[in-house]
Amino acid sequence: MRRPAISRSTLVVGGLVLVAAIVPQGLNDYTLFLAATVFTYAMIAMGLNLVLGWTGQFAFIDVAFFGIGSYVGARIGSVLELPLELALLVGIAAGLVVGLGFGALVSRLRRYYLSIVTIAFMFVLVYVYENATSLTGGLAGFTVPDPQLLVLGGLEISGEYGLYYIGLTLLVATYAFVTWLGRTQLARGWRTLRMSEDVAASLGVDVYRSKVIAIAVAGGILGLAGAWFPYVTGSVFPSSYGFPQLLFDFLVVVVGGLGSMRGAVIAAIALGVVNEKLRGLIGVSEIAFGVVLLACVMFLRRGVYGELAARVPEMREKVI
Amino acid sequence: MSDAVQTAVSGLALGSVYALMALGLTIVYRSTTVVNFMQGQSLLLGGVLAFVGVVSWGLPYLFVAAVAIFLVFCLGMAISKVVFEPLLKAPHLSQVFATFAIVFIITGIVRYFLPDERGLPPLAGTSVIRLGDASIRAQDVLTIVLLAVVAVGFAYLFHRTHLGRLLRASTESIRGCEMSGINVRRLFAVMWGVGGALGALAGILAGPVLLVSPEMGTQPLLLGFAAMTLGGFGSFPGAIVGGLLVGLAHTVTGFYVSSRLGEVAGFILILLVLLLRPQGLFGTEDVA
Repeated sequence: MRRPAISRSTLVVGGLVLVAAIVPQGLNDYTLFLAATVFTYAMIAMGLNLVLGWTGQFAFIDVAFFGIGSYVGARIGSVLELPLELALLVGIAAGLVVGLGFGALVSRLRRYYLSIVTIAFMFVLVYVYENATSLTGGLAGFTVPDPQLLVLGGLEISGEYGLYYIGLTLLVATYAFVTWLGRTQLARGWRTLRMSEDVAASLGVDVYRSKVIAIAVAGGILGLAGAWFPYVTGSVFPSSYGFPQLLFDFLVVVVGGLGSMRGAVIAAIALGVVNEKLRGLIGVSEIAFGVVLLACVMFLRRGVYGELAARVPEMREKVI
Repeated sequence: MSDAVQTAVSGLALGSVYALMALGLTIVYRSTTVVNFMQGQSLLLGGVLAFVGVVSWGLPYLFVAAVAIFLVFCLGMAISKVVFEPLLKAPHLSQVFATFAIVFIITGIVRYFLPDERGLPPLAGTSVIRLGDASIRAQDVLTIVLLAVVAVGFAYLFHRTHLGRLLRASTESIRGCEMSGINVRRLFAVMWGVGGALGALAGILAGPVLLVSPEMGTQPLLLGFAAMTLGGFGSFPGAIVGGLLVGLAHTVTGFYVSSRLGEVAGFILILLVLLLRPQGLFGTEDVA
């Protein structure tokens, strides 16, 4: 039986993207802003999922590298008045380079030691953001101008429609990249090492190098998200780059199903919207998230997406 | 000279709080191999219950403290029974996630009833002991003394009692314990309870300094975790030394450099130590 040229799942994803591209015509500014925000959360979730889900490393690098993207990419972009594409490239590069360095330093640490080191790194970065005032704007943070698009000849994008479409494009690009990455030999190595480092090593996987590359690539994705997000909100404050954000990102990846990129995207969007809607009710969002997480852990072992995919064969992501 | 003494004492007192947290984490880790991220909430509940009892209801402090610790002990046991027993056969990660979930829930509940920061009067009162030129808070001395009592108590428990032998057995092999007829579930429940009780004690002692708020547990948890890692995962003396070091790093850096640096000093310390000595100070090569 011939394999269709375009798989069913690609059609579904393509369809969703089409819908996402058309729908905004009727939406108000607030909804567009919310959408751009949750699209960014989805990118962060994919970055974290690469490390936590695909390689099984307890490296909570999401907020730290998201912050590096903002404080290097968006900062340089706003100070030097760079077009958006360049600011984003700076963010990706910063994430990659720091990821390589940090990954090299910490990838020999195991499990819980790795987790506390990555969390400590996040706190130290926040300290730097708050206190290196001349570089980072200190506690007051810094503002970011409307993005200019090089590909459109330096056109300045103001207004939520533009931000929405740029955000959507970045999300789709990240998803495509991650999907491609998932089919490479490198990713296969990651999945094996997640299962068992000894087995991976015996199969010829350079475990240490794999881990470092994972952190570097995730750093690049997170750097991209971090460089982009300030253009959505217009400003950067050090307080956004701390532990509460880490908990949220972690929740998203677990609920989506560790290792599932689609699950991460869906969970990020769903939980991001819920978080926004519950913002006014004190304490309720935390209780709700806790209950959801507990339910996922106790009943939906593979996360919401994973459980659905187990029952609906077409939804399954290719795991080689 | 008096500055050094004051800084050292307050560092040791703060360190004792972190050490209590680290001990609570270690005892649950040693017996169940799960890292109890809920430890911060035990501290939070200790502080909240103390606040409600002493400030809102005006009850005698010692009575409130004892009841609070007991209640959190019971809560720890209950959570172990309701949440962890069903997950005993589940992958490790699920159990850790479950502790996270409980963190969310408890924080949310506390935030709903007590959203703002509140002050808690110190158990030892505001009296101050003079040592030459230095003024030392009685509360700090109490905290350090209580840690010492707990530490000695644990050492005794582990090496001289039947329960201690059971604990050491359970860290060796759960299956072995089950086969020997030890009721592992009840053991775990008690250990979760003890971990919680230590956290609650830490919360009552640290309440005046940390202030009672929904976020109260986050830093002590993370720094307690750092202390445990610093000392080497699973090591009781390591947990104590790690906690004291983190506390001292906080006050010494805070005093001699800047208070802002003091807040991250513990994290900087853990970064430095783990990069140079991946197994922590007292850990063994294979522990992680």
